[in-house]
Amino acid sequence: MFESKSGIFFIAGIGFFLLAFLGNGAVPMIMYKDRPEQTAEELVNKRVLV
Amino acid sequence: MTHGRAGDPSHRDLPAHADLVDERIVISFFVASLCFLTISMLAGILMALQLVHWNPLRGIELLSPGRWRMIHTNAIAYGFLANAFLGALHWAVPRLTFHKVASRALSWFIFYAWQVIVLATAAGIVIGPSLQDQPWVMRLAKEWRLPMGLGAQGVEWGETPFWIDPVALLGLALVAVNFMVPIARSRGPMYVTLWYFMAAFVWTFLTYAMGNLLPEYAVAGTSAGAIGGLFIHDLVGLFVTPLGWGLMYYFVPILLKKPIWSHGLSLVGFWGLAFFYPLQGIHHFLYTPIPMFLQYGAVISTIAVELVVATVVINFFGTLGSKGSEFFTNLPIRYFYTGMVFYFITCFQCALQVTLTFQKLIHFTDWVVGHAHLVMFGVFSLWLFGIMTYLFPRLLGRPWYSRKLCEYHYWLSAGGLFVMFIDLTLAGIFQGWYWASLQPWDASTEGSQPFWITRVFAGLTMFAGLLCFLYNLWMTARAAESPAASRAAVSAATA
Repeated sequence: MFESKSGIFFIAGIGFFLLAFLGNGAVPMIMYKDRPEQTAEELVNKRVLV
Repeated sequence: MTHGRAGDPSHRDLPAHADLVDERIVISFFVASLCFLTISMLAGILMALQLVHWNPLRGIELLSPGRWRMIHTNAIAYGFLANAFLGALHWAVPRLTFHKVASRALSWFIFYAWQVIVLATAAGIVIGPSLQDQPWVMRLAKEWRLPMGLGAQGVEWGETPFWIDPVALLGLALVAVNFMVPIARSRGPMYVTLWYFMAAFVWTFLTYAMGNLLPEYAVAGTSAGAIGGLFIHDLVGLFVTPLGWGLMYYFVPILLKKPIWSHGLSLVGFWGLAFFYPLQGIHHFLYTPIPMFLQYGAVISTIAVELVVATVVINFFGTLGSKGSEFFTNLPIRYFYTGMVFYFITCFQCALQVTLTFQKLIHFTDWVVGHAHLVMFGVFSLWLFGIMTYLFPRLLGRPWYSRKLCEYHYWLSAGGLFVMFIDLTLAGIFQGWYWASLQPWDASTEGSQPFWITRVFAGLTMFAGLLCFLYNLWMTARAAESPAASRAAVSAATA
């Protein structure tokens, strides 16, 4: 498995990439999907703008 | 790794080198890569001059520093590194697998298409922002609901204008097909180099698609930041790194005429890199709204990669072993091992700088710029210079015009880079303390001037090294071919 074409292609190539994408990309996407998009003016602490 | 040699029973059935490798395409990719390296380094020097208030192009909108900076980074990644890797792959893959690439016509198509992609990217970066507020561009953007303009996109290293992205993706898919076919046709156990190459073809396509499609069309804000972090780190870790190490596993045993020291450590190195490297992207965005458990995970996996890298470097120094004198006498080997020492330093630095304590000081400072130059120039560019120093005499069929100029190239490149790395690292620490002490911004830029002036001279030194190499190459190519004497002279010149 560690030196075979299929092992490298499917596990290292696709599998580990997808694992990292799910863990580091999809998780924040899912966690924040209901948060509304805001402009910088809406987001920033109002007292900073005064 | 073998030529078909008539009369030698062990090699009688092996295909001849000329049947496997199209040397003209290797030369073409190398020459294109050196053209883009020249442009990129000139752009870097212009940026350095801008920081010391001596921009020679002041007032020219199309050549403004912000655009030059993107040309600098894009031309290095996609112009120099990608072209040079493609050239080296056209040499290494057929010789390792004993099979030609899927199609030589496809190789030439990829060559021309890739140059168009890189040049179109440069044109988009330079011209795009000036067209941004033109009524016809705004109308097009509105009618077609385009999420961005014609120019650069706001993703680091993903600045490639959106209209080029699908073409670039197609190009990467074709590259994968062209090299995967000979790998798939090969029989028997795969050599370590091919593990890295196979994975790199998959990773590069997926990484490019993720970084150039998701933040532009699907996600925004913090989530897009997380994807952007994955993208920029995966470009280094999953595109440049596996191709670079794969080539080291190929060229080092050939030049040292001995096998890699430990097969077990090769396995640990490959699988450790494959598992831990993709998990690091978020370390670019510590202290952001990205969930802290993901930030901690990225920090831990980054430190883990340093341990993996240590096993790879130990393996290569074990391979050098009793042939340590080759470091001084064999120029390509010197390039390779200098790059490996720099790689260990850059990964060690990475393991430190991703800690939250360290980030507080060095984030946004020139420390990061020094780190980026160390890995891109100090490691991968030096490796590619070593490969070119070894291959050009073989490709051109004659020895280098001047061995002394080859030496100058090495010392000016490695020395200039080392000075720049130390200089920018110190600059970063100073800048971090300026900001931490809440002094005005101007105080930090004034305090950075000595470092930025030093950086200009370090950059000029590296560029002088490149000029030595280009002149040497030009004179070598112009020299009259003498096939009878060349083969012996070639090995003497590069040994």
